[in-house]
Amino acid sequence: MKRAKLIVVAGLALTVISNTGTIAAQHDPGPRPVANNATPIPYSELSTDLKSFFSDAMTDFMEVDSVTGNLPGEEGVGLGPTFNGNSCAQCHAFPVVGGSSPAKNPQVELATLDGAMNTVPSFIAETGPVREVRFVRNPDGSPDGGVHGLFTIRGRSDASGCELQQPNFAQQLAAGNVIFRIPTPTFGLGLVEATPDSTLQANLAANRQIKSQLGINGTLNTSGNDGTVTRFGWKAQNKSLMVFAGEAYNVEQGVSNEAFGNERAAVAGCVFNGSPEDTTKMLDDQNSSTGTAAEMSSDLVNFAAFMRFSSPPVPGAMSGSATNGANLFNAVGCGLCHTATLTTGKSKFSGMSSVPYHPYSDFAIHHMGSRLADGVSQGAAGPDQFRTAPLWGLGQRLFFLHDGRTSDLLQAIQAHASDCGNSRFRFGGNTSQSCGSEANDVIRRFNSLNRSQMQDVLNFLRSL
Amino acid sequence: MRFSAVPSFSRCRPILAIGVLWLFLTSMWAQGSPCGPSPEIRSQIEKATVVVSNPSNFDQALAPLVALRQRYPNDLWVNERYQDAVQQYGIEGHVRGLTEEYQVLSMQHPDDPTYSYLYSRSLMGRNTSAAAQQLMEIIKDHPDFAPAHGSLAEIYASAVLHDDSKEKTERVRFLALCPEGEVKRPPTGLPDPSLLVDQAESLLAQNGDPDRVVALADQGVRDDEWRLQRIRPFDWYSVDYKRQAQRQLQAKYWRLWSIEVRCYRRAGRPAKAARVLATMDQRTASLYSTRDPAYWDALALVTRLYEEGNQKELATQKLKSMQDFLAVHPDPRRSAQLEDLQKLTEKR
Repeated sequence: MKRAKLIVVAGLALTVISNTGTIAAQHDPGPRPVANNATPIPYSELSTDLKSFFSDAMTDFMEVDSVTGNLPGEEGVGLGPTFNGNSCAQCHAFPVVGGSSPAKNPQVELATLDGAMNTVPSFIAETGPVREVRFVRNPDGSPDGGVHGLFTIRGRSDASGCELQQPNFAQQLAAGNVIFRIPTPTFGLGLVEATPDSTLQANLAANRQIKSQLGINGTLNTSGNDGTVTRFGWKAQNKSLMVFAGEAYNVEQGVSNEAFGNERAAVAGCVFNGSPEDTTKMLDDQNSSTGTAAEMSSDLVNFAAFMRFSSPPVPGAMSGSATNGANLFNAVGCGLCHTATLTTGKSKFSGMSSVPYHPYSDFAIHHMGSRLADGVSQGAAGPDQFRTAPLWGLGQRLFFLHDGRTSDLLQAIQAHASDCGNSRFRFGGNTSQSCGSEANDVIRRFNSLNRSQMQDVLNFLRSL
Repeated sequence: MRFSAVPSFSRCRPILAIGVLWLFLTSMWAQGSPCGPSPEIRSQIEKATVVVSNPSNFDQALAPLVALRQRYPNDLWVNERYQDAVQQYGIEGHVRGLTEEYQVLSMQHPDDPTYSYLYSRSLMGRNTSAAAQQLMEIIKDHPDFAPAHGSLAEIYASAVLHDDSKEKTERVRFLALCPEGEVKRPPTGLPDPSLLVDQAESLLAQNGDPDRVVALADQGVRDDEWRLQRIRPFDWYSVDYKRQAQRQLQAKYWRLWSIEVRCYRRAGRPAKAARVLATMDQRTASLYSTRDPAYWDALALVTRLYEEGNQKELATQKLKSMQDFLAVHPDPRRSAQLEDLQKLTEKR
């Protein structure tokens, strides 16, 4: 008996050692190169009209905002009083406009642009990801979860008299009250928007038995307004691209708009424009009332159009290793949540009806355990629940996971596994089943792959 | 309590009349006459109207009037002066807050024309047609409420709702009620555009201290930004006037940045100069993508600055952009400008 026990212990130890060695030996091949002149492209099946709407809308997506729109080259109106960026394209930048965080974080220079008097918080680095900050709790201990702008317009030449100070991030960090989010890529989102709820529900219900055996549950986040499935954002908290764009415009740039009409941090001495700051135009820039759709639309509509009509990320060539990796990806169980293919329903937009596409996501929210938990609830998504991050375009992503904590794909995979024991956040009301990560078993299976197989999976992911 | 339980109305009439008269007199005492403040209030207002060193410091500029308003919360003239000061020193947020505050007050005092009047007055220059409409409503119920006639006369004297005949009618009515009264022609108190950028350029030409030159130019732009805040939130000014003021300010920004580049170069801070110039270059590119008419001038300025800094390669690139632009949008004046710049570059 004793001998048998020894063998088991020795076997386990060997497994751990060999797996540790395996993990250390694999490597993320890194992002695929991006062509010098790469630009966002419209979805190929769109009509000519919609393609030009996309191109014109992109100009708005790239527009730089200042407080009053008086600064040359920063003609957008409404920046601040608090903000994280001054243009959509500033943060949604890599590999091309519309993507995610670029290699050089523009927030460092933004802190003092045009005379602004911000200090760069310790968690914002020039080589780190673009980040927004949320506080988990309010000072009275009640849940917060809202975005707190990194910067204020204090000191800018176009914001005379505004004395609004930045939050005390050092103090909040010390109190363990700070979590981060990085920009989600926006390519191909029209297809996601055009996917019927029933498709997402059926997909989630598919393979229920296998999922259940692996501890995978998942649920779809829903709108408190109409009860339909929400699908955009790290916790699938946003219903539509309009809502997604409207919230981001107000929260990230401080521009009130037709979807989110009230100014945030509206200290009287820092409010320089009427609300909403972005509206549908009765006259375009040339004083004409007969401009194109993009010219007459609000920035908000243009942002949504840019995302809606953009082409999905184009995958790289599949090597033999990547093809093998794709099979392993499914065999291990990754594909149970990272659904490879979904199909759109009937769409009003040309070429977008009944289209199979490859997001590698079920757009459902899953418990991810203590290592990823951020303590923030959004809609039905609780403190440790996140939307299955779509993996399309992963081959050209620089930062991974909701907070951009790593640039190493292997570490990102490993972070999917965790129990519920070490979180600094409380999981009020969660059962023990949802306390750990739903991905634990799948990651265990991934870790049981041999070195070459793991490398195949990594190569496959970098081909997306 | 049932109505029959109280003394009859006819028996109460003299008491009520005395009460109403007393209320009227005390309110007149508190508010001065409808034509102007009492001597005491006038003197207090004068004391509270201070000249401030930094007009963008709203709280500092308003502090004496805020205190005075706390002492005389119901005084028409104190409130009027307070409103004027908010519009004089405030930005959109302050002016919006002012309207909201007086709207609440007018709802709290539905039978008092003073508050309806002050609310209407807070709309003047913001939503002037609504202000005029409400002032006319007040006059319908209180034809002898002189301030409403005065304000209407001011509105009809302004460009936004200009009407000579109505202005004359209201002025005559106002002066009949208040012979010593004065009708202003709004908007008033808009500062002139700053001359500090011009001064900075002169100082730069005289080899003045680079830091001083930059500080002057920067303050000049900030002063004009603040000036534009006296224009943007108000419908006293036409859309064209606002656009023109904005274009003038944008031109000043380009002057400020070129001053910075030249000063930093002169002060031996080439890296800082290069950073400012690179940002100017980016801004120029964005003007091209938005088809801004200021693109050409910005491009010419950036080219010149590269040329002055002996950055020949970049200057040549910009000259090429100018040529390309001219090929699509021919213009003899601009061609001459390009030729001059080309000659300058060749000389170096």
